[in-house]
Amino acid sequence: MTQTQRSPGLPGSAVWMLKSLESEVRPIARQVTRHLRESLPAETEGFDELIFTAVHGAMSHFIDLGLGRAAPYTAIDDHFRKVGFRVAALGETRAIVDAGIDMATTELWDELRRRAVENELSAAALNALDEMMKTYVGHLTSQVTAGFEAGTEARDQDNDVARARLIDRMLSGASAAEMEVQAALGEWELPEKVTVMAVELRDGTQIASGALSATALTRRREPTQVVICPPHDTATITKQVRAAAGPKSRVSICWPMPPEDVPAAWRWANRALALVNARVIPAKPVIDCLAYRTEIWLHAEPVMRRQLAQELLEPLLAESENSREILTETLLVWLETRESAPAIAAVLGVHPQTIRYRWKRINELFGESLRDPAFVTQLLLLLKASVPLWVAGDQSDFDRYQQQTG
Amino acid sequence: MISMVLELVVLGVGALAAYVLGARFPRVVAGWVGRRSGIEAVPGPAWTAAAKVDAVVLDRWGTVTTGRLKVTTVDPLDPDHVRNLRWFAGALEHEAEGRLARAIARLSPRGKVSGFEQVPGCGVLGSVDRHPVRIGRPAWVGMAERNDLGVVVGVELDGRPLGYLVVGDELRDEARTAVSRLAALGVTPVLVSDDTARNTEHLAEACGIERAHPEIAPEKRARLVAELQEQGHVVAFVSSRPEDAEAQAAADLAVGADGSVRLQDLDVGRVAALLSTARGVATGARLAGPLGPVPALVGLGLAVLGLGSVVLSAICALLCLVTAAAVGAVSVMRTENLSRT
Repeated sequence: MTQTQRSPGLPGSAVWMLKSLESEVRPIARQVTRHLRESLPAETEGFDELIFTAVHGAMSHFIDLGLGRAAPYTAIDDHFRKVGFRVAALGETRAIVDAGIDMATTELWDELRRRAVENELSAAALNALDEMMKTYVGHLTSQVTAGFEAGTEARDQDNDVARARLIDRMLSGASAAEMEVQAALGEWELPEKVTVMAVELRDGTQIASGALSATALTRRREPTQVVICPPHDTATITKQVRAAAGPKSRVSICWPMPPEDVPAAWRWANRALALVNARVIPAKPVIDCLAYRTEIWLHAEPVMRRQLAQELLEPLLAESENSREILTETLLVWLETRESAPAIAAVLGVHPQTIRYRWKRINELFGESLRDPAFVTQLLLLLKASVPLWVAGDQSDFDRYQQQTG
Repeated sequence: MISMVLELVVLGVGALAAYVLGARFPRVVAGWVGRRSGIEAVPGPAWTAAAKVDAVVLDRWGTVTTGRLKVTTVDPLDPDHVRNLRWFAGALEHEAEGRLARAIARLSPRGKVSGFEQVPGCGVLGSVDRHPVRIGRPAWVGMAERNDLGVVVGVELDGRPLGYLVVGDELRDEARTAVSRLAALGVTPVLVSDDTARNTEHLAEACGIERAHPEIAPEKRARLVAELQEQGHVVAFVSSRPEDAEAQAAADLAVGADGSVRLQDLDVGRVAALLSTARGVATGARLAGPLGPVPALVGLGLAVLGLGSVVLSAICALLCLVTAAAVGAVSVMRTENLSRT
């Protein structure tokens, strides 16, 4: 689109008002840009300069047109097509651009109306301006559409973008059909089962997709970087991940899962890393989630564990730290083995009379509840989940108890 | 004539030998016999002194008692905690030193103890199998004082009072009998103790001693010996404590520690046996001298009557030695047997 539009023949008062706006285009454009950034989603971060240029250019061009100056569309059309193209290429939706144009138009129109009131502009002049603006915005929107379509086409042909979208779909639990489409676009063969890895990186590093075999999908996805690959490539990909991520990184590998269960696998892999940081799971460079399934399961609902601990373990929480630790240790071994005092003493490396004393104390604390099978089952699971945390130095249960009891 | 002279010479030598050796035979026999009774070494002059002793000062440790303390009462606040009280207190005291600690330690086997600490004047603390335990004066562990005989300690477990232990002297089984044997010998037993008046009086009463001196410091013990001697007593001092060296030096007979007389232990029964045997030695020595030469006098008579011969004189001389030895042995054995009854 390279034509030069003639003056729309605005009334003189409207022309005069537009002329008075000319010197204020930049601050108004800056203000609109700021408001747009505040209102638009986080995905538009980094678009500031693009938005400002678009708003500033559109305002200047609109005023030029209103004043009847020779104003070619070429530059401004190109810019709005670029906006559409970039948004599409990044895999974002068209709605972001439309919302931006709507907000900018509304704000600018409000500005025009405010000035029209101040300058006692006639209704006819204001209507003429409105008509001109609608036409102009419609034109820009069509340029965005053209750019977005071109960007979408290019994106679909871009392997990396398609694969990034595939990862997003897999992690968000998309249907099998949708995953197959995205896998085909990314030229990635969707296996029956996949291995999901969560890579904990240090110092803000990322693993580039080029650092891994073509059979691996990877993308930064908070709180870690996800890597998805066919199960038979797990060992190779793990080595590549370790090499690319550096010695301070840690990889948590979930056991092979069907693609539709990738969200769960991703959650478990990240949970395993969190448990390593909580010192429940030994801190090794590569965490095999299969070996820690019980821990991952027991810690799947941290809030529920915390609440149950406050409720069921109240008698223990009231004890001193040392007493709580040794009574819990004894109770847990008893719940697991149901052995005699000498046998439990042998396990814990203490004298049998010590175990008898502790058992008396435990009975004093819990009373008849220990004869309730349901309570005992809950207690066992709860202790299995809580004791490693306590041993690792997590004092949150006791701090919470003390806060509640004053 | 020559034969007559020869007979007289043989008889004279026999009589002289019997007289001289007769005074020594009882000590030799007492040495043999005494070893059976745990009297290990008694110098010659000590036998004489021991025979004259009529007052024995007995230190509490090892004489009427075994020298050890024992737990006389285990009293938990909750009756279900009897075994816990014995176990935790005993295990902790294995780490401590002293008679009190050893008495409590005998309540249980060793355990895993950490952070053991002795608090002077208060007690001991530490952890047994990671359970914090404190043992000491009841007030120190936040428990009420008690008025039992012996030493009362409170035991605290996991910051909670668990119960009381009372520790007292371990009286020798035969202490009372041995003391009565001393009395039968005419010996006055005097008990000296570093324990309280109440506990000392109880101990003296338990073993039949009428005169007891509680809480008596080592330097006062020498003065006690001097007082007894001033009262006309021949005093023996029986103690295993090095602090009593001064008192032992002041006494007429020192038994135990660095004393001249060495016994297997200071059991009051053994002391009674020593004194009794010493009296046998004295009696034997007194009788063997005069009685030993009697066969020589018989031989002399036969020679004067012309019925003697050199062979007969030699037999009489030999009989002199046998008589002296027999008199000494019988005297010692008799008193030794008497001391056992």
